Formats: sequence, C-alpha cells, structure tokens
Amino acid sequence: MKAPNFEDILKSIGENNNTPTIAMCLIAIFKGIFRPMFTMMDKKSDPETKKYAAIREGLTEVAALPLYAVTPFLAAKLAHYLGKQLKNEVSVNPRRMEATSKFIGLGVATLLIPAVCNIIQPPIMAAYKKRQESKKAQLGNTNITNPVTQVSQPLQTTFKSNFNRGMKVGG
Amino acid sequence: MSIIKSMGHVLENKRFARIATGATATVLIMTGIKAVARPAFIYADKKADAETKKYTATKEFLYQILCLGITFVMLPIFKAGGFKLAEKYIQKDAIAAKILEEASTSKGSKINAFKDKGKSILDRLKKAKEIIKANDTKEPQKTEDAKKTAAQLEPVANAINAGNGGEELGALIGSVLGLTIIAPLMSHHILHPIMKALGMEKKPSSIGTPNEIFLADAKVETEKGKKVRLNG
Repeated sequence: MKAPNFEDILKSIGENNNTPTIAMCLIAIFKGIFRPMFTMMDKKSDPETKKYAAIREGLTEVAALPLYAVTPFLAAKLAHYLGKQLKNEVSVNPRRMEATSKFIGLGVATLLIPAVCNIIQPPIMAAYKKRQESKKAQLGNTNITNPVTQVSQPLQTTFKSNFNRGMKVGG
Repeated sequence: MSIIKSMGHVLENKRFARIATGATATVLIMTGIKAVARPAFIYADKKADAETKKYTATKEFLYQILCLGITFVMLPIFKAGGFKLAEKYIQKDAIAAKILEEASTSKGSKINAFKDKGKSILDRLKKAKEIIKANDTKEPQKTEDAKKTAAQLEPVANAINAGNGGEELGALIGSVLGLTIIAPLMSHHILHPIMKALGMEKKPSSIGTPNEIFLADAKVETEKGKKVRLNG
C-alpha cells in the first residue's frame, strides 16, 4: 500500500466534512498536553499547587475530548432521523443537515463540558487530596519540625467547598 | 410536526451549513460560546461565595476574549499560508488552475472566491456519482453520460479539494497553536494587568491551596516580626 503523500492528505482534508469536529478534538488533545506542561514549568508556584492545577487541567480536557468526539455524531444521527420524518414534506439535503447538526452538537458539547467537569473532578481531586494528606501525615509523624506539614491540615477544611469544584479557569 | 418542520428548515439552511463545514467559524463560535457560558456556569454555582465567583468568572471571561482575539488574528494568516502550500497541487489541473486565476482577480477573498467557483464542479461530480450509483436500467444513456462526466471532473475535483484542504489544514494548525500554546503563554502577561486595573488583582482568600494561604499568612506574620503561626 502506497504511503499517503502531502497532496493526498490535503485532498482528504478538503473532502472531509468533519474538520470542525477534528479541530475541536485536536484543540482538546493539545490543551491536555500543553496546559499541564506550562503549569508545571511555572517557577513561581510551589510544587504541590502546580501538581494540583496540572491534574485539574488534564481532567478538564479528558472530559472535553470524548464529548467533542461523540456529541456531533449523535446529533447527526438525530438529524438523519429528522430527515426521514420530513422527506415527504420538505426537500431535504442530507449533507447540509448533517453538517449543521454536527455543528450544533459541538455547541452542545461546549456547554456540557463545565457540567461534566463539575461531576467528575470533585471525587478525583478529593481522592488526590486524601492521598496527599496521608503522605503529609506520614511525613509529619517522622518530621515534627516541618511547620508546613503541620499547618496544612487544620486549614484544609476551610477550603473544602471550593477546592474540587469545576474545571480549571482559562480552559 | 410543525416544530420538526421548523427544525428541519434550520438544519437545511444553506448559510448555516456553509458556516458549519468550516473549522474557522467553528473555532471562533465555540470560543465565543465559552466566553459567555463558562462565566455563567461559575455564577450559577451556589456553593461558592460571591467574591470567588466574581474573580473566577471575570478571569475566565477575559481569558476566552483573549483566545478569541488570538484566533481572529492567527487564523486568516495560517489559512492563507495553507492555501499557498496547496496552490502547486491546484495548478496540476488546467481547469482548477483557471478557477484559481479567476479567484485571484476577484474583488473579495481569493480563498472564498476559489471555494465558491469550485463548489459548482464538486456539486456536478457529486450528482454524476449519484446517477452512477443509482444505475437506472431504464435510462442506461444517463448512466453512461454520468460516467463520462465523472471521469472528466474527477481530476478537477481532486485539485479543488486539495486547495480546500490546504485552507482547512492552515485553519487547524493556526487554531491549535493559538489556543493551546500562545493563549496560555500570553494570558500570564495580559490578564494580570487587566485584573489589576479592574481592582481584582489578588485572589479572594477563599481561593488557593492550604500551602498558598499558609505561606501568604506566614509572610505577613514574619514581616510584622512575629513568630510564624503553627495552628490556624
């Protein structure tokens, strides 16, 4: 089988009606890679804060990618069904209906991402926080002179309600 | 049934379909939706306090506006670049090359003019392929004519699709670069002065990990010459 050359790649992109979906999925993938990377490269924040923020950013894109990949196709299926219902009453252009419905599907996915993040992030970040707390408790038992380890536990309950909520700002 | 009919008309709309098939419009519109929807979701959160919500929603809104601005600037440049790369493949076919030449001399955007002129050829090829696929035995001449048309138009369509593909590839690369690398890097330098100008420079005390708040408090205490607090 001949390897595709650049011309073949351009042709297949030109013929493909799914470039909007591909664009949103690619953005989600690269955001999931680069945003945590940039966060970890930040020299001003402490390592724990960076790690926490990077995990949240990664989780936001983990939620975004399947939504962007699947919702347009579900919308297209719905439009296909709608087209069948309307076939006798209105002249239907299936390609146009498919394109518009996939676009609407992407819009719906964009609106659903924060809601899905609000569901999946709190338990995961709570589990991560619990793991970090138990690590610190172990360190605290063996290293009494470390004030950071000792103080972090009493303060945590104050921020519990804000900690795990929703996707990372600026996603 | 009338609701379904109205929905059908919306989905059938030529203009919507044209916007919906391009990566450019999709990226811009989705970023616009995020700029409105995400702050709205933040404000809808009943558990967070008002100060936190205001800070987070404002920052999110500003970030999405920054992304919108970056996309507006970068996409036309990358689209033009992608189309330029594809021009040598368009030139391979005489008819497609002529369409490109006509598009270059047209008043508006060269890329849009090329797409508009090329669309009629793609539609003719599509119709011919549908007739071939239907293979109506009652009208064999129709099928034969469609096969000839398809054979003539296939190379032209390939060249036109290569041009369209070049533009879309440019849009894909531009949007990925802009939104995943440039926007996060620029946000550090741009959002902070704007938040400061709005009087929202500091995060509300309810935001932050325990370490951040402890270290901030510890700094205040040591600056006042007191010992660092160990418990609350």
